[in-house]
Amino acid sequence: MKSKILAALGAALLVVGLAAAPALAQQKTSGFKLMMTPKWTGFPYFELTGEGAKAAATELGDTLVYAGADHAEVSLQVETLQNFVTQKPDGIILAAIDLNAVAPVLKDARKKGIVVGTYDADAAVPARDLFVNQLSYEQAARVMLDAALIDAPEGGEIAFIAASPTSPNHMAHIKIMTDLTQKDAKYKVFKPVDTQFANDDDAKSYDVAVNLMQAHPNLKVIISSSAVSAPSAARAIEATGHVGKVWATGFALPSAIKRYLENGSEKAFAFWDPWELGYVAAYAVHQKLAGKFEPTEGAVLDVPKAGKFTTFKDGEVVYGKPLIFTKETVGKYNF
Amino acid sequence: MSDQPVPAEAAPSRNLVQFVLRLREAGVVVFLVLLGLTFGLLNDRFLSVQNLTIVASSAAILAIAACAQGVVLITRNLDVSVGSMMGLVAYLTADWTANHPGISPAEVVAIAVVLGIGLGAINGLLVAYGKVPALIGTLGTMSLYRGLTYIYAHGQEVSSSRLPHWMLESADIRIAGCPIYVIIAIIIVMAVAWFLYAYPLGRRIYAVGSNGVAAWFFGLRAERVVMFAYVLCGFLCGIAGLLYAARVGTVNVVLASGWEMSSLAAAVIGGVSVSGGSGTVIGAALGAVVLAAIDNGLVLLRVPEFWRMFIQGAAIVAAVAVDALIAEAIRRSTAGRRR
Repeated sequence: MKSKILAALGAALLVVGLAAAPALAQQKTSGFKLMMTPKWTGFPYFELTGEGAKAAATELGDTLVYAGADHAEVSLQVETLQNFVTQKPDGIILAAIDLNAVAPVLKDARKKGIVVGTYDADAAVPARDLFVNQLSYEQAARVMLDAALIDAPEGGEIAFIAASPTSPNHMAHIKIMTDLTQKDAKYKVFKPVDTQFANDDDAKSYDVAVNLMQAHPNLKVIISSSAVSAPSAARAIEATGHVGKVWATGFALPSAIKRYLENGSEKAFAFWDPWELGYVAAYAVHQKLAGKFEPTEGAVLDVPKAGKFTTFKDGEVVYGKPLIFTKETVGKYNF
Repeated sequence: MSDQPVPAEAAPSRNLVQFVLRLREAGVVVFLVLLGLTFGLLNDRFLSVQNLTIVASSAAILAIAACAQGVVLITRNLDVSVGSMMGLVAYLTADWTANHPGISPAEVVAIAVVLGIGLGAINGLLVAYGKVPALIGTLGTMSLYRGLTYIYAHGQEVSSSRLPHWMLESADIRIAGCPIYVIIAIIIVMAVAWFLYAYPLGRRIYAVGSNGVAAWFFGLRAERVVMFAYVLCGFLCGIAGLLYAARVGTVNVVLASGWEMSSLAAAVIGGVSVSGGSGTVIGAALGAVVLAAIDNGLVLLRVPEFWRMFIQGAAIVAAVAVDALIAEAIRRSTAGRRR
């Protein structure tokens, strides 16, 4: 009799315990173990995203490990992620080198209950919980055209340099910029005349920029969302004596274009704050782990120090704070 | 007087050989003129002085790389590490320069040249003394040098703002309207061409490439000659890498990747035979001008990027085919002479 009661009691306790365990886990709101890998380490841009993420983790009482290979090689990134998964973190944050190549290991991680967040460059949607996108395509297109307006307020012919016709973000930016020059009164002063491809290669970008200026004598602005091509175009303008006649703009790291802004051969380039992007990415993953944020369409991620960010379809949280660098502001940034 | 027909018969065939050999360099000139006329007819801006200056300026660095590749090709070897040597030299030199702000231009050039010679010497040791096939050996050093660049750079790049002002400004100098790079390229290519033409060591480079066995019987130490060709190649790549770094301003780890193929293409288009012993570095440099002219002309004509790759590929295939035909013609005419 007694033993039966004890057994029943034991079983009941076990049931309660089992039911309580996940409830207890959900109540955990701090002390998470986060692991983060950029596309490659050592590059100032990614190091800053790492520092931002570490700052967020420290504030929220989490620990964050930032690691990765020193060059952008997808097989090495997969290896890094596999190492992460075996260390059983609570969350993984990454900038994916390839949309699909990292998907299997990330899906495996999610099966084990790890929350996966991407930033800077997304992985396949089913492989991650959320994506903190630095700028939406439209924001990117608008900020580049705004920078072009600083260069040439009177407007004129513009040409684009993309990495390749298959680079999704570059081609989307160009399509939206072209649409905006037709529809938006603010940008109607611009007339797109050409699109060239330079494979994110600086010498090729230089040659392409030189040839663009040859092909279009009235060219006013060369715009590129490749952070490699935009500074190379600025260099080409300077080297071929087109300073003051043609301008280069687009996305570029401040360190790469500081020289041209300071010597007056260029006026404005655009980017975003990588430190804050990393901060928001870590914050988003923490909030998801703490059960305080679910990345469904329309959900708002509240980051007290950075702002409120809306979630779009497929768990895309848009950070969306573009920066424009000019001669006056470029010196403030160290990436 | 009875033996007069014999030299008379020999003379035309010898002239034919000389004519064909001369044609090898003439071919690229003819091609360049035809290309220029075609583009000139289709677009009136192409033949303007200003545009031709741009073409020459774009071709300048590749001309030096093609010249480097040409020297090795003449010895019947090849060097696929050209791009990696340029990249490593450019990165190390730019990084050193960025970290030593007071450095003098002469020191920068010296660093680039010494590094280039060192890398070229490693290739030379492998191929000439290690007897590693040229393709395999330099394929190995191609990855090795590029890998070293990655390891050293650790994900960083050297941006234009870290380089001294004189470095970038000197790349933009023009003398009487002619970009300094074009002048440097012409001087270097002419000097190498003169060296190959007029100096015993230069002639030996041709001798080893055209008939290694005969050269050996003649008492030439082929190893030394091949070694020297690789060192010269490395030296030229060192200069090309430095010029490249100063032109683009931002030096990253992928600088000049793919240049092994462009330099090879330029040399072959310029009439340097892949089977060794013939062609000139002037031809190779003109081959670089052909590639630059195609690139420039097709952009002026608004031809999409991928047709440019296609047309460049077609030019290379045509050049190699012509090379094979000429080699066959020479073989026949010399065989006829021996009989």
